[in-house]
Amino acid sequence: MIKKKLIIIIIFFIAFAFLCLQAAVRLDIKLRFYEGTRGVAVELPQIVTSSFLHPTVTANIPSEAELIEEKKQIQRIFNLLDVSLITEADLPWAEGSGKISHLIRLDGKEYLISLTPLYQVRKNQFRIEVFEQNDKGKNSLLDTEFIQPKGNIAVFGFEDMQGNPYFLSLRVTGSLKEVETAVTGGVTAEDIEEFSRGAIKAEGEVKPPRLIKKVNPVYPEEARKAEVQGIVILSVRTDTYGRVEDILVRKSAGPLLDQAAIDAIRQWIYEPMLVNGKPNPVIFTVTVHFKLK
Amino acid sequence: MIKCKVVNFLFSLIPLKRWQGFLLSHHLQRCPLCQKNMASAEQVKSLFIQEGDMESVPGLWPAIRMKLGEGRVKKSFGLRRLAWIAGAAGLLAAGAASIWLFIYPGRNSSSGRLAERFQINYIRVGSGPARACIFKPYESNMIFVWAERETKEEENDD
Repeated sequence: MIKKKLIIIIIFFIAFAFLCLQAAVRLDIKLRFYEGTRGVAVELPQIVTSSFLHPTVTANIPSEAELIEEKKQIQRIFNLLDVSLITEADLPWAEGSGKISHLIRLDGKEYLISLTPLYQVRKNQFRIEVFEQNDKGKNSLLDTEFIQPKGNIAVFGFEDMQGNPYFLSLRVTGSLKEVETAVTGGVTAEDIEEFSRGAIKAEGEVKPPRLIKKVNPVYPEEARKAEVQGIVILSVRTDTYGRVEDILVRKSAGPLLDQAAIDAIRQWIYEPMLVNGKPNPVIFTVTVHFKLK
Repeated sequence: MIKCKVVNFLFSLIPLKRWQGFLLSHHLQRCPLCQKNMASAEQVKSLFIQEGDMESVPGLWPAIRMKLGEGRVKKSFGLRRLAWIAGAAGLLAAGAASIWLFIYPGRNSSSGRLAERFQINYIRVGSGPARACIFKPYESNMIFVWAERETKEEENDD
């Protein structure tokens, strides 16, 4: 009898320990990529293509006030003429999933951001690597390992190979459970799942495709008059020929600007995504900037 | 003078100590109620045999004790077993908790174990260490780090 009870206890203990090990830590990481202007104002890229964005809870939480504050502080501290957000990404990281890679294409240049949460996840310890790369090779723009207090925003500034200042802000919003209650709506995991069915996601080793034919978005007159500005982030799905076949708004800048972005992107053509010599539908992210001059 | 309830209680404590046996027999000899409840004092006489008296009767007392003790042994074994199970469960729970805390110390704490200070372990640009500046605005949750390549002149100066 006592043996049976002991066996039950041991089995219970093993199951408990197993569950402890299986229950992985999950983090939501908000990443923003800025370009700074030192001297004469430069025309910033209106369109940025980047890796596929997985759904996160925090992506649905409005953070405009935080963005404005970040831009203001970067401009003030680094004495810049202007600071523009190139793109932002909400990246989910699950324990055991290794590094997160996010590739950004703008103006024919490629920036690869690699984020590795390290073993001391409880301390929010990360390694960030930023590379500027092209067909000839890649150059390291930044490689750092740091510990970030919870709730803080770390902003790293560096220069690209041409000496232009760029800034990368990183905020860890904690595990999903902690922010569940703050969800206000938006794109759900089911929407993304439905949207991406049967297509390859541009992530990790799979780069987002190159844009072959581009039609610039038209700034809606009504939005111009109302001085509405902002960025629209969209998930784009291309077919086997590289034509845009479906679009999902991930970050809205209002119905007028969203529609203007969609109307333009629908006319774009990307290079077909070949996997083992066979063309495939692919999903990636496009950021469209609407900024009044 | 002890009362009937006490007698009943003392019965449950058999085997009795010498003084307990004396009080018991003293009561039984005088209490008509107890005497009535019993068939006769003679019939229960064997129950009042003192430990000391049994020394002269080798084998009997150990036999009685063994018989009386069986229940106790069983009872104490049950308690001991329960104690062992409780102890083992406690140890296992403590072990599991230790594993939990050792592997994921931050899981259940929102801020206590988290890093309270921003810390950079290293910072590089290109293939070498970078010249870095760190700035934290007053009353802000933002930390700014600027990293730039060390120029050759500076390297020579060093």
